[in-house]
Amino acid sequence: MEVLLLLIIISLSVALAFLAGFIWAVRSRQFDDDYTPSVRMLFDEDEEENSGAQPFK
Amino acid sequence: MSQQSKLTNTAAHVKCFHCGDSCEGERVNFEDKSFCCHGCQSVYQLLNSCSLESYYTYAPNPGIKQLKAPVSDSFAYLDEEGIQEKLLSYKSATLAKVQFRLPSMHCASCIWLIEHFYKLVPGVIQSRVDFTKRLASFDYNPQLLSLRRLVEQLSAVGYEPQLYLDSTKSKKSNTYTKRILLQMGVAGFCFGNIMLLSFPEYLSVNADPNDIYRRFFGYVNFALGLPVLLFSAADYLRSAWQSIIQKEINMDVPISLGVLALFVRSTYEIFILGGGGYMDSLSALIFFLLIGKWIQQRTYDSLSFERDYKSYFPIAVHRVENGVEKPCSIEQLKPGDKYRVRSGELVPTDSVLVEGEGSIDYSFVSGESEPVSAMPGAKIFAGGRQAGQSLLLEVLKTVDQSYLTALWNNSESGNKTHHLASFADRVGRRFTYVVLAISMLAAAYWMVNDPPVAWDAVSAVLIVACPCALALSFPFAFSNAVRLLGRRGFYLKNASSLGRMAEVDTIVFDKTGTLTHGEDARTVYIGRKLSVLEKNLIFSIVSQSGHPLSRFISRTLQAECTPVSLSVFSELPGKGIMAGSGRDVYRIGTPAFVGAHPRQINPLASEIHVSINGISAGFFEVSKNYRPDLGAQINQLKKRYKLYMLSGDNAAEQSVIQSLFGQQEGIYFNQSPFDKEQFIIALQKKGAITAMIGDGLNDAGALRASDMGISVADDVFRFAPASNAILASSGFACLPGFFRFSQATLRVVKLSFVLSFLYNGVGVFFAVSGLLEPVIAAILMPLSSISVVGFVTLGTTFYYRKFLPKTDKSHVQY
Repeated sequence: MEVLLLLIIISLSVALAFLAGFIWAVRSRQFDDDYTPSVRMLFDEDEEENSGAQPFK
Repeated sequence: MSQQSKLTNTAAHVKCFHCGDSCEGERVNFEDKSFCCHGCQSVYQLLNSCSLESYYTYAPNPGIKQLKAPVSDSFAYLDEEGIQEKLLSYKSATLAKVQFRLPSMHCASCIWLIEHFYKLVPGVIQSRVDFTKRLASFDYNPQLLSLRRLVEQLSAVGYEPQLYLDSTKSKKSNTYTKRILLQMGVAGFCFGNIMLLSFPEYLSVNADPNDIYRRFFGYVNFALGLPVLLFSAADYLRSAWQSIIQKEINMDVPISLGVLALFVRSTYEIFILGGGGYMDSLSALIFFLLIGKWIQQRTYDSLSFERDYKSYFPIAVHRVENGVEKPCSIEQLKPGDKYRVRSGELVPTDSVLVEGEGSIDYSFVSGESEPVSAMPGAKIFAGGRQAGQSLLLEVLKTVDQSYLTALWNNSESGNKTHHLASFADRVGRRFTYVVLAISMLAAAYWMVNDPPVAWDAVSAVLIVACPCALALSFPFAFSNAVRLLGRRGFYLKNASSLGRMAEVDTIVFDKTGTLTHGEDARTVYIGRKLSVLEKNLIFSIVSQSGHPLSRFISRTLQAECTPVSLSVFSELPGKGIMAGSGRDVYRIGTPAFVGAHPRQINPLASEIHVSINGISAGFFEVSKNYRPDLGAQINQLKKRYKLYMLSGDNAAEQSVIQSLFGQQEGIYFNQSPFDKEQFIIALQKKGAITAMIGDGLNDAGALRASDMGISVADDVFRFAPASNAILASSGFACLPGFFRFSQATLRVVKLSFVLSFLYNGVGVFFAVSGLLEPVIAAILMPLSSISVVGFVTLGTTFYYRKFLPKTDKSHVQY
């Protein structure tokens, strides 16, 4: 049954990885604007790209 | 573009393809589309030529009508290095970054166009929109594109950036939001894991304290509880400590007491007794509290509630050096400098007129919309707006020392602390004393009867009495109410403004722009037909009078009349004008003066009668554009509040306003901004809690001095002086409903207190008897929180439906 201790540690580290992901997302300002991306994703892709200008990456 | 655009004059109900306005009167047909004006059509043509026609696919009629003709060099100051430096956040030889506020963005199409701006303007590398804050950031190549050209292009398609001195300020609230999010994330993570690890504890009744799993789970729980206490709860602990030092106990004190008691007791149980502790309750408590805090601080990012006078000033003026005009930022103006102000521009600092004929509109400062004429040598104060030819001025004082700035700063220092402490803190203070008293009593009782239980009982009281539900009911009730009010065009600065609004007992109105829309008046002539000569004479007579009503008539007749000379002219104040030309004698004024019968067709309009040689000809009906149903709204408010009206205008409309308010007293005219502010302060000294409803800078002092400043704005994203709330003028009709709803919300909150006190009472019963099991704490705490949150949310929504029933027109898009 001691394997339970190991399993709990593993499950905790998985959870910690998600927490780290959340912290990274907050730090990289992904929660600053929660409206515009929902509109932006519905825009059509550009058919032709002109003059070396680039759309958003 | 080879197609010819045609101009037709059909008054059909056709919407402009670009801006959606009706094409009444003028209509421009181009290709198969209709436009309301050449401006809209040319923007359409421009976008089409850059293959940006998708603009019209994301929202119907997304365009913005160009109301004023662009002035060719109005952005010339953007070529100045010093000004560029202030605006750009980064600049190298090939890359510059800049961020603008574009208040006219309003739909998905706007986002699309701004983010595809690189197609329209060569040199733009990329652009990105933050719609909720109405911000757009541009990366561009300064070798290919100047800042001035970028701004001009944005303005050309209808998105004129708001460039003001303080738009260069960086915003602090962002890091605060981030911090709460991080604290919330950590608390939520720990809460979930501790809950999971505490299950065995909940289920086992008589577990062996030396059981290896039990000990292990305890240690892990402790490890997870530590960041909750040190990071997530840090702000509560700090605020509680500060409030103790300042001897102003707030709600954070009982919360912190509970948190500390939970932590100390859990640590003791985990390490000494080998138990599970209450880390689950601790992290749940902090997690829920942070959610409440986060919801509470989510306000309207796109609205600015903190404007000061500087937001109204231009960034730069045209300074004249050795006969050459050069743009210069207004902060660099020194006494003795000469600069030019064009028609429609604000005078940024106290100056002396050197050249030109001034016609200065001080409505911004004094509220009086009558322009003041000024001759060379006259002193002109900051905040005046020139209407007419361009002026050459000499600076008397720097911008920081001008009259307007002094007025502003004075009132600011006079009103540092609001005399109303927030309701939550008042409750929190009493609550803390009660909790401390109960735990002392429990301690004393157990010390006498069974000393070992005393420690258990005291810490348990502190734990269960922790006002979690109490602390949650405010933010959830208020933020739900703020959200609901926003649907009707009433935007509160923050949740605590709502509590203040509910306690208001006196409402002070401004007139122009608040009770009326805009300054426009409708003037209609009713009577026998006048000959051309008669009209010309009437026009000449009224244009010589400074009375506002005369000016309205003269403005209406201006288009069709030419002035003629008069032989006699005399104006009798309060009665009218008697004037003559040749043998004809004209009397224009009140019915009694003219010798006519008053008609009183429209109670909200003034009648100006005309008689020619003693025979009544007819009258002009001048109706200010009072808001619809104003009388009914004022009647509703009058039942509950004491009402006042302060106006910067003269008393021409006194009788109209008095009949509108149904009261003789409490209506004052000729009030300067300073008078208005002093009036509010005098009311407050008498113990009144006042709401000021106004617009414009002339109300700014009063808005700020009042307990609840509400500024009315036609376009909420543009100008509004510093205030507690911004009311879209379309939502004005719901004003009585807003006030009743705010009181109802406070009532809901008070009821929720009863509910949460019941929970606390049950908890305290367990606690003082020394029987508090972790499982009871773990159930009681979330249960009370969730039921209180549910209760206040449903309660506020119920009252919203009751007091602000849905009508077709009242829905305002945020």
